[in-house]
Amino acid sequence: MRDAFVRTAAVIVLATATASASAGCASPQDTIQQQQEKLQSLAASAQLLTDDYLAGQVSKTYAATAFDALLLQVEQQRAVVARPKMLADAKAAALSQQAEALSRLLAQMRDDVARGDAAALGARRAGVAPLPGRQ
Amino acid sequence: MSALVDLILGVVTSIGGFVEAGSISTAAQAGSEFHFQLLWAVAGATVMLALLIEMSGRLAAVSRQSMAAAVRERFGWPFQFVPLAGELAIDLLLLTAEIGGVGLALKLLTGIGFQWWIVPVGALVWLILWRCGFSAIEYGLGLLGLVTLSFVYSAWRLSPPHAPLVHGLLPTLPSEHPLRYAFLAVSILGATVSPYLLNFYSSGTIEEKMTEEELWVNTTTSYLGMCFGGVVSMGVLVTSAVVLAPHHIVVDTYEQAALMFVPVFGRWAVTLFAASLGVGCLGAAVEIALNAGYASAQVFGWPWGANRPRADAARFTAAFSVVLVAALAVALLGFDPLRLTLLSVAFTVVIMPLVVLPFLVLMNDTKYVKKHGSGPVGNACLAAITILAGLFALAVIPLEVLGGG
Repeated sequence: MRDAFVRTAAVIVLATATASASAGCASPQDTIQQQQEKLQSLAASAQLLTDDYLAGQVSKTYAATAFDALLLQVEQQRAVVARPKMLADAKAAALSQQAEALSRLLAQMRDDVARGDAAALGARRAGVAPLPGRQ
Repeated sequence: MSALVDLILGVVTSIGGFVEAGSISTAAQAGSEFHFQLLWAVAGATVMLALLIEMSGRLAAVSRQSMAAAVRERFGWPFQFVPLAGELAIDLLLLTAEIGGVGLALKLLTGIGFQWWIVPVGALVWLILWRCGFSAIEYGLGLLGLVTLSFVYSAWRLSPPHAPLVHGLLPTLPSEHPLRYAFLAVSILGATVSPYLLNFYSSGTIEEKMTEEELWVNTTTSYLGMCFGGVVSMGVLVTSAVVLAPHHIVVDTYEQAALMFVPVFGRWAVTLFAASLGVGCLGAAVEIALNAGYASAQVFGWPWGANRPRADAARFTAAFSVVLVAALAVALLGFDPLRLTLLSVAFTVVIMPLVVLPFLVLMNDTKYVKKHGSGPVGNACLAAITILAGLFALAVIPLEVLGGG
């Protein structure tokens, strides 16, 4: 009985390793699609966060923290599409530029929150263009 | 009367340990990406957990042995080594993620980076473990965990449409992103059926000196308590689906997830979300650290128990302290707690067959369960869970690679 369990454990570990190895990585097009959707989600989050902040529903502390987190996420996504191998693709290059623009906008919005400049934040909110993605 | 009080407390406080970083993050992601379509995964995982929890409690009440001790005695050290090493590794990852979760909750409230909270939170966890007995830990943190009912209240106030809700309880294929869907379904299972919960529950049964005559308390607590926890997880999923999904927001950070409370709780939204996340993660962190002590002591045959004076169980105390310090060290490296949670959930699924498989033998061995063995229905459920756990274990890493995001 004991040997059977040890064998079962070994089979599970081996099979998992084999399945993982055979899974490989996603294709560049899948990666671009995935990053596009992530950026769309982050842009939508920035819009919702701004609306809630301007409506007085969330605090300045939280809004600044959340903008920081969104900015970090956008930078991470940008790093994925800005790899030299990916940038050869026109879609990836365009996405990288969109991500850079979003990144800059989020940094400015974060500063607006820190300064308590609601008017500037409201104006910038309109500039957060939703990226095409999953509908 | 005492048994009835224990029963009510047991059911109500089952939220402690159930609703934590893993269940909140996977349910929030599932709701934001697939609306109500993954409700069935939460329901299925809850039923699976309730079955296993009931069995581990029954085994402990009848045999006076915890799961880890019974597995070691029945199968020997070579077999026990793999699940023990796996469980301790997952405990370490989960503990790191939960401590990070408390840190993030505090960050949401104060704006101070979560890394600054790691050591104070670790010290608080250790202090609770050092000063409190089992009942204080289980009931105290469980009662605090009732704040997570705000997810259920929020889901109820948002009045989601009934037909899609009911439809979500039946497994259906998504129109797109099937790999992501499958990954989230398996992750929900991993976040719900954590090995630490099984051993923690069986150890708690012994700590509370539950007897064979009180098995009805065990059965009722297991099923009602886990369903209670499952309803809270569903509350997270539904709230996320109603509030975040229409905006096409996919939850990648807890900061995004906190926005789901705004329509219902307004100015209290972030505070309530942070309290739910913080208390849930703190409760889980204490239970996971304690379980690391339980599992190590039970496998090596050391004296153990949260109700013992710590000097009488020095190696048990040292074991949970070492795991806690190791988790703090990993947490201080600055890993994203949400990603760490999803990683630990995937590893939980990988070792799940090794955790579930021994139940099939132990729950039919009269030396351990006497006349309270599993009947044909129980065995059929166990066999089904074992087969499913094996399939999920094979699929989870490829799914993590292809659909993990």
